[in-house]
Amino acid sequence: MWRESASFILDKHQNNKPISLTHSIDSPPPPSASMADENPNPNPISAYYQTRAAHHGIVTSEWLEQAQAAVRRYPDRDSLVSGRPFSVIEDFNSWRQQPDLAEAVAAIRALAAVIRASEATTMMELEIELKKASDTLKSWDTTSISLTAGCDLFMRYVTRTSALEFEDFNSAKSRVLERAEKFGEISCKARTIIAMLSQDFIFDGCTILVHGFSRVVFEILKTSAQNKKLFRVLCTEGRPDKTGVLLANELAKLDIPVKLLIDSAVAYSMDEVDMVFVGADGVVESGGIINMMGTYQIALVAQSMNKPVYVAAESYKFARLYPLDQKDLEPALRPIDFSVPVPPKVEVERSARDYTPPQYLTLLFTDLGVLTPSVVSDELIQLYL
Amino acid sequence: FPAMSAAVVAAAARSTLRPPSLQTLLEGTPESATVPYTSSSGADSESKTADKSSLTRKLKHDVIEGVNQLIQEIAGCHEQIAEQAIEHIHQNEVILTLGSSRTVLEFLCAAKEKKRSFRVFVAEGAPRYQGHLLAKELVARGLQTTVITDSAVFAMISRVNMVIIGAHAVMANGGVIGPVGVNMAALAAQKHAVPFVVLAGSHKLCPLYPHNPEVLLNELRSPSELLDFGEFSDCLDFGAGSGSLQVVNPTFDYVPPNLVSLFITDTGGHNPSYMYRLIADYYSADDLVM
Repeated sequence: MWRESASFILDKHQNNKPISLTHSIDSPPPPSASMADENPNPNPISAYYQTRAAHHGIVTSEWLEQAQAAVRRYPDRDSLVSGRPFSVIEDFNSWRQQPDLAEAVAAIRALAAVIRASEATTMMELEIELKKASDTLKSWDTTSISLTAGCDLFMRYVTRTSALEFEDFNSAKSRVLERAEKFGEISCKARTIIAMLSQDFIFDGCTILVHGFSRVVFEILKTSAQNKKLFRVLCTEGRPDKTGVLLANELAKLDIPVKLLIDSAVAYSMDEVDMVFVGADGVVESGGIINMMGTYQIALVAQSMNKPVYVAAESYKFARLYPLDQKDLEPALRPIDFSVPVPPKVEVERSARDYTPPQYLTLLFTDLGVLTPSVVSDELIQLYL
Repeated sequence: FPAMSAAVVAAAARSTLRPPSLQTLLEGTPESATVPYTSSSGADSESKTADKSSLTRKLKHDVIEGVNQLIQEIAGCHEQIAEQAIEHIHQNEVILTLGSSRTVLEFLCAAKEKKRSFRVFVAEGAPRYQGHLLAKELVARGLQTTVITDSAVFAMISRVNMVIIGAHAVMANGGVIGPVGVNMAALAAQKHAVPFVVLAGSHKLCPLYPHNPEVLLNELRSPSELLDFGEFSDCLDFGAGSGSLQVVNPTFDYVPPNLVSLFITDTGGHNPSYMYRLIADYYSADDLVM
């Protein structure tokens, strides 16, 4: 109803950011600078997506040099034992190097390690230490929803125990540590649980459309292949991360028939698709999901053609967010390579993710069970209270 | 079988992260700090400090009490649902129903007793033609009834104000398993923006999600209901070799939740997206593992 004013033109002239002439890739800032405990990532380019890209092997050479320089600056974990103060960020980063481990699980492990290494003598002190460590982790990358949600849920779960009222500090601390380990265990096993729960929904002869390289969805497909189900997968190309080719590689290794589509070919192929499987970067209060750019589009097409959209998400991704539209999210930007030079006056939409409202989703597979989108807010209340 | 153990682990995850369930309370497992979950079979929140024999006696007593309460609920659900009829059926309305359901019969009669005058279209519900029985009952109670074939539903739907059917089962996502033909009535209702109301006692709630409802949750009955013995017998003979006739006679139909406007249960009227909540009241994740 209200037309958008043309003020965006004025804003552009005022801000006038310099864009390089040769490529539209902004060179990422040195990650080592942001590894200091207090300094959050100043540049809006999302570290979360950089890490995912790194795990997939899509790195620019400058980023790689800087990463190597950073690793040299921070020596191995073992040598940390010799008297250096425990840094939660270092622990987190050492866990994060494993490409199979989700970022939130790495954070949960790091926080559990904080409890273990803590020298506090009272419960309040331990809680304050934990809170500080959790805040540090969250501020390290403000664009990552699962990191924030994972830390929040961990804090709630661990401190929600009557053990905190015990007189003996050591038994209270061991109880807290026990709960922390249990939470870490649940989060670790989440993927296998989700894979097993979703087996019923994949039937012989079905065609599955997958968007983005979600490790949970990959686990689901792998388990189905191991259970000798016959199905085929259509992968979208997944610009700019090229997730489609990587996923296609992995699936081909498992002997699953794969077909690659460019992102624009989704509506064209939606006829032959039986179901759509996506992962999620975060699940929001309304029951919608935040996922790689393109998910909303695919969900819209699937819904208009009556195809079910299934989301696979672990429970630590449930976040206390309620976006009302696409721009309500914190911006997470990715450098996009057009392989031809883009003139400086031309803007590029660099957002890495979009929000899919709950009415386009059919079911969510989580480690808490199979949920409909309307159940999510209920579960959130249960988890966060 | 592996799916069952996944459900076990998921249930375990849920139970650690949430307040305790009926099962844990009955087992007397000590849980830390969380509020005891109030179950539908009464409060079991007394501490289990009694010795073993009195503990078993108490458990037995509690279970028997729970079962009796459940029996009462099932017996009384028709009345409670019928009480709400007056709010939904208005003067001079035309109601469509399919097949025969005792809940629907009591519902309509309750509205008739409160002096609402309305008409009922009954789709006969082939091949069992239970709609005929329902029509007879309705006429006996003084309601003006019209019997139509299932195929005429689309033709008549534009004159109908509301579709009311009984459910065989309600799934966890809000989908309905009903007598064969209700999916067609639901689609017709959606096309003409007619409210589609489902009556279901709370004992009909099912905690499963339908991943292949047309096949897995259906019952295929004998084809003799469709074709007389002797008719077509040469086509049905597989030994003959040339072309065989298959007859499929499913009993149930699945209606997806987006086609249902309202569920009327003995606890009141609800949205399909709310049904999981009612199911959670009766089934905790632990109790689900069979």
